[in-house]
Amino acid sequence: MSTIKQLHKKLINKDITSLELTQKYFDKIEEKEKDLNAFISLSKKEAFKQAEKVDENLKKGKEIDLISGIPCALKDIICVKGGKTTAGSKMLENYTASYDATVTKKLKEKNAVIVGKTNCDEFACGSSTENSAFGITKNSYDLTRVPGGSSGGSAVAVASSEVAWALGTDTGGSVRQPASFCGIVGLKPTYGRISRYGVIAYASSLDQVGIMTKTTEDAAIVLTRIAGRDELDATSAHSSGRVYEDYLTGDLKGKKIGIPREYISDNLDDAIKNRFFEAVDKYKKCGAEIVDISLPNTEYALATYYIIAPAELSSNLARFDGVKYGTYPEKKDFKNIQDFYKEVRGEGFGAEIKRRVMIGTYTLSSGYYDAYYKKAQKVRGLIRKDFEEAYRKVDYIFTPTTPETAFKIGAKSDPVTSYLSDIYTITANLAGVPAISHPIGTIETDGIDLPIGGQLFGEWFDEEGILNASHTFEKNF
Amino acid sequence: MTKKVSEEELKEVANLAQIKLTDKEVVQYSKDLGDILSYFDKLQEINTQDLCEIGHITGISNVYRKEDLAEEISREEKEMILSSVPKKNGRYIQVKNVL
Repeated sequence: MSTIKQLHKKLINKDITSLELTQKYFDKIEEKEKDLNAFISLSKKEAFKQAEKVDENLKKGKEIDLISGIPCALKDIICVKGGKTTAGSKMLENYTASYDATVTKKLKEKNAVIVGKTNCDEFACGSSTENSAFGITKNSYDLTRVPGGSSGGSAVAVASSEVAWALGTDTGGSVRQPASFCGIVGLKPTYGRISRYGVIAYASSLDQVGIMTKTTEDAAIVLTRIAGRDELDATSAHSSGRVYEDYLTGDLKGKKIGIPREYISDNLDDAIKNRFFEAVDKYKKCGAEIVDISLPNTEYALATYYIIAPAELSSNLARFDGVKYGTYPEKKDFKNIQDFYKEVRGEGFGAEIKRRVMIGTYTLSSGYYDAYYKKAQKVRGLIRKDFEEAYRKVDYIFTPTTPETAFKIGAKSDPVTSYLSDIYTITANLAGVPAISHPIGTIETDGIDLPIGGQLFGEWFDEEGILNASHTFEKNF
Repeated sequence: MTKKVSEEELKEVANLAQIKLTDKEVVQYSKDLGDILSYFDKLQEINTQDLCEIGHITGISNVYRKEDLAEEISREEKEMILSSVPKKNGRYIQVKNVL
């Protein structure tokens, strides 16, 4: 297992060139992809070109950035100019991005080596990476299980060392839940911390780019390089100018960590409860004070989320009409243009997208708007208030990331059950707070040790706080 | 309370969403939407009469851009945009007549 810093050291010590390193990762991808299907597309030519540039800089004795020359992957919902960006949808199988997302641009400026685009649930809607038009991604711990989702491809690529690190997106837990299922670190920053420009939209008031890495320090290093205000995303927040990796002191003395009792219900699986409380003890040993707290509106979060997110999705996906992109339907004789749109969208969208677009259309339609969307936006305010009140008492909040370990492929067929996968993660998106999932151990299931994560919520824009807490935990255990 | 979405209602929603469905899908989705909407009833437990709606969560407001000429896109970029268009006539995007 190599971290960004270790790989960087090897590069600057000339133990390995970036070209060799990139080749090594592509060899790994070649070896593992037939089992895992973590990638939708690879960009070998561009990757080697970037690696060559880094090697030239090194040869000239130039200083290189920490992430320069190191292979990484992007979820296939983030645009890379000149490359396919499908969002896991048949609707976009022929779409070539004509521009770089802001995060892509920033990574290219630092000469990161982007090896390819990873699989995901269609338009980031799902918790298993089973809803992709490009096949199911398998969990590298057990090929009969899902990796979580929607950023399942990125999680598996990192967990199986097909890349050193990856980007995903997190609208309701799509970075943290797969991180928990795959035994890696997943960071969802505060809403607005990273620009969403060039990231195909799911639910605009909840979407945030997330970082998936082997260690917390790696997540901090990547965040420093992609965070900040962007003119092209009006909802992006002011730049903090922070070098996040400098905040990893490994000291938690005097910090208070709240455990919300609503997250530790009687229904929670005993094995997960045990792992979780072992982790709480470890935080205590790190010097943190543990405080019992309440987030009383938690029970309303799931319904709130599944009103707001599909409503925004239905609006965002209205642009997919088969005119500018999409597959032209075989059928030739359309009565009118509406008939054409319906054919394109009926063919191009997968089952879960159709379901969510219709939920959104229903809740936004006249006569229902007040009862659903407006109501949910008000409850969203209550959920945010829960967090505001909690942060008067504590610095961070700690919970299990998921109520389960990775489940079997095909195990969740009805929608309401599958939506429950997000129960612990969605509150962070609704409240807009930053959250990180880090491994807290494994649970033996059918003879295989499956990973499970713990999740820290921080105050708005206090990424450095939760990064340091997670890092301290990692260093000590 | 269990909500029911009739097949007729479902077809109307699909029509508004501009999605063509098969008969099998109509049956399946009217059941699914009923289940999901019933789950949403949970929110009726809370009195939200005096609460404000949340639009933007971190409270940013009035973000203005400088009134500047945007950078013109290059010929290469134009070609890329057009390369994704399913039906073209030369450099024009072809659509079914609207009227």
